[in-house]
Amino acid sequence: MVLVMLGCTLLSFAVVNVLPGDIVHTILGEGYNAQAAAELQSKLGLNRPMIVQYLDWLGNALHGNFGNSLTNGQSVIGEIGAAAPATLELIVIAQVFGILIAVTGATAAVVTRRRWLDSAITGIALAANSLPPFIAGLLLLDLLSTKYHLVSSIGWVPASSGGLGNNLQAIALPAFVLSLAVFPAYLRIFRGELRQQLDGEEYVVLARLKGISTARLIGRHVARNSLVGLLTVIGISTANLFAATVIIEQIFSIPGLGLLLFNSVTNHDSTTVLGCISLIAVIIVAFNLVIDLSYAALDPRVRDAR
Amino acid sequence: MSDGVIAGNAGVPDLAAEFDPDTAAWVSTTAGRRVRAGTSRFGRALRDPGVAVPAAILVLLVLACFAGPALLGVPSPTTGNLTQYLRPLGSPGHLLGTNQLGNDMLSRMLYGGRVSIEIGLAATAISLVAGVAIGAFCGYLGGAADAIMMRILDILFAFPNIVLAMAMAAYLGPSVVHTIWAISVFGVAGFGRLARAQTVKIRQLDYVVAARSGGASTWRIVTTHIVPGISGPLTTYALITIGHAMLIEAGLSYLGLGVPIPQPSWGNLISSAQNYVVQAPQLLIMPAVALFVTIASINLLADGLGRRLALDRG
Repeated sequence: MVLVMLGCTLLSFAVVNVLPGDIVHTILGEGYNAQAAAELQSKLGLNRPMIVQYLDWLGNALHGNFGNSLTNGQSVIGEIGAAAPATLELIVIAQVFGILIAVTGATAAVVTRRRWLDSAITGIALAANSLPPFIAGLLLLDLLSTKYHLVSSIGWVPASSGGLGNNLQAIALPAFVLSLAVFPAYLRIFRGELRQQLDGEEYVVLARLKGISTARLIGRHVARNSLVGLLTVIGISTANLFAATVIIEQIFSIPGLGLLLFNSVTNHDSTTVLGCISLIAVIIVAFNLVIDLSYAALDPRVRDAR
Repeated sequence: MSDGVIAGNAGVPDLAAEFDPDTAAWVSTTAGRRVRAGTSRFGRALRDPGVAVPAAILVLLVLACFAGPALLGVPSPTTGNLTQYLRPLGSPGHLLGTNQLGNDMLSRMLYGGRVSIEIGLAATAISLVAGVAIGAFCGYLGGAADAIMMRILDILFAFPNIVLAMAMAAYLGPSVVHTIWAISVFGVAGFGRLARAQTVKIRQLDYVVAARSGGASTWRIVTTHIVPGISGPLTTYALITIGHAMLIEAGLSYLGLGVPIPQPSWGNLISSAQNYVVQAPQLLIMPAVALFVTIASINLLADGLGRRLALDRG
C-alpha cells in the first residue's frame, strides 16, 4: 500500500523531470540568459543528483510542504486543498449513482420474466460503455441547459458559499455523466454474480422451498454474496474515473483536481503536478483500502481468517 | 455450408479444394453444428451471428476508412476555403457537408477514422506484446522476479494514467506517435496482470509439465505452449482494449493533447465541433456516432467471441 503510493510519487517525479521542458525556462521566461539560469538552478537545487532531489522533495512532502506553484507562487498544498473537495464530491456522488443504477438495473434484469427487459438493460449498459463520457456530457449539457433550461449552465457553486441545494443541483449532471462511464462494468459484474448465486447455490433453493418472496431473497441473502465482485471492480475503476474526471471538469467548469492537474501539466508547473499526483495516488489507495476492509465486513470467512 | 476452411491452426493444409463434401472429415461442435476438421476456433466462432454481425460492421468501417478516400475520390481533409463555410449535409460535392473552415466533412470523417483506428490498434499491439511478455514470463518463472514485477505493475495500474498521457503531450508536443506511446503505457499493466493470472493457471497443466520435464527451455515453453494457451481471454481483452484506446484517444484529442489539428481524428473533430453545436449539430453528432458504432461493435464482438471461445474449448 505505502509502497504503491511511494512508487507513484517516484514515477511522477521521474516523468516530470525527465521529459524535456525546463523548469528554469518556465520561471525565467523572457529574462532567460545563461547566468540567471545557472543561479536559479543552484538556488532550486536542480544540479544535485535526481535521487537527492527526490528524497528532498519527499521529506518536505511528508511534513506537508509541497512547495509553491511555479506559475502563480501559491502554496501547492493550499491550491490542492481548495480544489480537492469539489473533485471528491464529484467522484463520490458519481460512484453512488453508478452503483445505484447498476444494482437496480442488474436486479431488474435478473429477476424479470420478460426477456426483452433483460436485453434492453444489457443493451443500455453496452451503449453507455461505448460512448465516451465527455460526448454524453457535451450533448446533455447542451440539451438540458440551452434547450430545456433544466440545469443552470452557470456552473459550479461550492456548498460553503452558495448553499447545499445549489451545490447539489450543480453537481447532479456532471456526476451523472461521470457515472455513465462506470456503471456498465458494475452492471455486468453484478448481474453475473446474481445469476451465479441464483442459479447455482443451494441456499437459494432451500429459501425458495421455504416460500421466501423474491424481494426478500435478493435483498437479504443473495445481494450480500454478490457484492464482493462488484467491490473489486469499484476499486479498480477509481483510477479510470480520474481520467474521465479531468475531461468532465473541463466541460462543466468545475474547479477541481482534474482541472488543476490539466492546467499545471500544460503550464509545465512541476511542483503542482507532483502535489496533485500524490494526492490522487493517496485517494486511490485509500479507496482500495476501504474496499479491502469492506470485504471483511461482508464475508465472515475473510473476517475469521484474519 | 461449403464455405471452406478458415485457416487458424498452424500447419493444417487447406482441405477445401480437395475434399469431396461427402467424404470430408467433419467434426461436430456445440449445438450440433458441423464444421470441417481443422477449422480454427475463430472460424467456428464466426458462425455465431453474435460474432459475425459486429465483425462485419467493423470490417466495413475499416475498409471505408482506409480504402474509402481512394475509392470515393474525396477532397483532402485539410484544404478547403472559407467560401464553403458550414455547408449542410447533402450539398453538391460535399456529401456530409463542410465544417467551419470549409473542409469536406466526409473526407475528414474517413481520414479521422483512419487515424483513430490506427492509434487504437497500434497502442493495443504495443501493450499486448509488452504486457504479455512481462506477464507470461513472470507468471511462469515465479519467485522474486515475479513479485517485484507485479509490484511495479500494481504501481503502474494505480497511477492516474491520464497524467502520463497529458505530460507526454504537454512536454513533447501532441502528435499521433506520442499519443500512441502514451496510450500503450495504459494497457501494459492490464495485459501483464491478465497474462500472469492466466499463466499461473495453466502452468501446472499436464502438457506444460511434460514439456518442462522433457527439458524444453523456458523461452520455448512460454512461446510455444503458454502463449497459445492463454490466447482465449487475451483476445477478448485485446479487443476491449482497442475500444478503450480509441475512447482515450478521443478524450486526449478533445483536451488538445492528442492528435494535433488540422489532422483530423474523431476525437478532435468532436472538440472543434463544440462551438458550432447550435448552428451545425451534425459536426458533433457524426464523429460521435462513428465512435459509438465502432466501439459498440468492438464490445459486442469481444462479448460474442468470449462466449464462443469459452464454449468451444478447442
